[in-house]
Amino acid sequence: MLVKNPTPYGHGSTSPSKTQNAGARRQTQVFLVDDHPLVRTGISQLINKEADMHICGEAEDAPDALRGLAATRPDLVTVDISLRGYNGIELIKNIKSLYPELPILVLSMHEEGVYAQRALRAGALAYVMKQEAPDKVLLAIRRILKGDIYVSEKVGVQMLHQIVNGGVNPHGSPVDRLSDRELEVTQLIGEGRTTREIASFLNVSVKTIESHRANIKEKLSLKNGPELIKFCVQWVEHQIS
Amino acid sequence: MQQSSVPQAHSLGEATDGTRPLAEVFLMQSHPLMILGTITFLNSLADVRVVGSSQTPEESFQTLASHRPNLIIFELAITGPYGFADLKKLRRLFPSLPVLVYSYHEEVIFARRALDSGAFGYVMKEAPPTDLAEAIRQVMAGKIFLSDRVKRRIERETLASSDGREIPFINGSVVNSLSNRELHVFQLLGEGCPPETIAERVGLVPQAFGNMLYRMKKKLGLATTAALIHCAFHWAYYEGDFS
Repeated sequence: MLVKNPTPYGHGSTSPSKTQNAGARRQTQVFLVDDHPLVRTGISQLINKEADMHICGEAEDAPDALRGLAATRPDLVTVDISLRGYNGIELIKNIKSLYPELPILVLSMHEEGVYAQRALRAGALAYVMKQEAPDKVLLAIRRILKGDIYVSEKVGVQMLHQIVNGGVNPHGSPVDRLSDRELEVTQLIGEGRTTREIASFLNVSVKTIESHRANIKEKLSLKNGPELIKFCVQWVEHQIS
Repeated sequence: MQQSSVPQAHSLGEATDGTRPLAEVFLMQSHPLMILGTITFLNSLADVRVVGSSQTPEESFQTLASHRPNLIIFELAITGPYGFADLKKLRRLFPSLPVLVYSYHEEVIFARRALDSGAFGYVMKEAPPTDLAEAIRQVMAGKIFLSDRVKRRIERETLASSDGREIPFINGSVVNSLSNRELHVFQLLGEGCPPETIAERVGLVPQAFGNMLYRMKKKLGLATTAALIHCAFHWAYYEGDFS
């Protein structure tokens, strides 16, 4: 974890008076979690440029994030939905249970149509795609500090459709029917891992993973094991865009 | 995104120590915050200056010449903008301009393919930024940059292929060890064809088909059917791009 000194560079825009005037109106302390160092630099640069915000620490994985949050007690945290190093949705749930009042903003390169609602259900208040302009990140931060929710117009419309249609999203992805855990298992199967590997990675029994596999097949109407694998592999291939 | 909106730490237009050539970089990257972070970092180096950037290939191809870069940092996203086709187009249109790939994707799978498509180096976005700086210096010096991890992998692979074995993914000749019928099955798996249909098409009963899959896994050094399908999928998906 890197606290108080987010990046060796990127301080160019932080004026000394800004960081030292504890007496004036207090700055919003932001903690950021992302596994790509130069994305962290970009976010720091963006946020430290705002007079009323400051990056108080950053982390590249979930354990670092939890240690850093305990040490810095920020006013807001941004979390990346990483699917490689750690599970962002799980991290959001953990943060939410430890700090129920802490606003969480998700900043992700993963498809909002699939992950935005899951992130919100897990406890996040905002979801912004990394493809979006940086202004959107600042807008989302200001919204959630006021206690509002922020999603893109596309996701907002999707959620309204769902309400109107009694919980079913007519334009949804097939994986919408999967639980967060089942989606995680789908991801791991698609990466070519064995049931045993998945069980040990997630710290559960092989039987549990087998029942997840059965549920995924059932929910997605997949006939057999190979069809399940094919679906999972294709799902993983289309994650990063 | 305009790089003028970003402060330049010590870039004075010339390399300060006078020994290294100044890298004048154009960024082809799709995420604005990544562009911002990369510009901030690179402009903090004495021998690198970002001269321009663009989020889309279309805009990049139109504007990059006017920025007069001497190095391109290219995203390489597989399903999004800046794919292999754009990388090849870039090399075709600007053959004298070296390209360094800076990607979210796993280097073990894509680094060598990127070099085959004309890149001079490959750095993962998870890597420490100092790796990116080092890669820029190597490429500016006319060298190829790969991480130690990928270099070790290639060494092992070269040893293995002199041994007659093949390593999947990274080696273009992964399928050489497969028989013609196995290759056909591998291709069909990669296209997403259901296994029972494949068995029927190649005229095998389920038991014999199972045996064939087992042999293929053994030849390719893969532990599970999932890994075999994954490998087949990659092969089918990317091989077309390289043929």
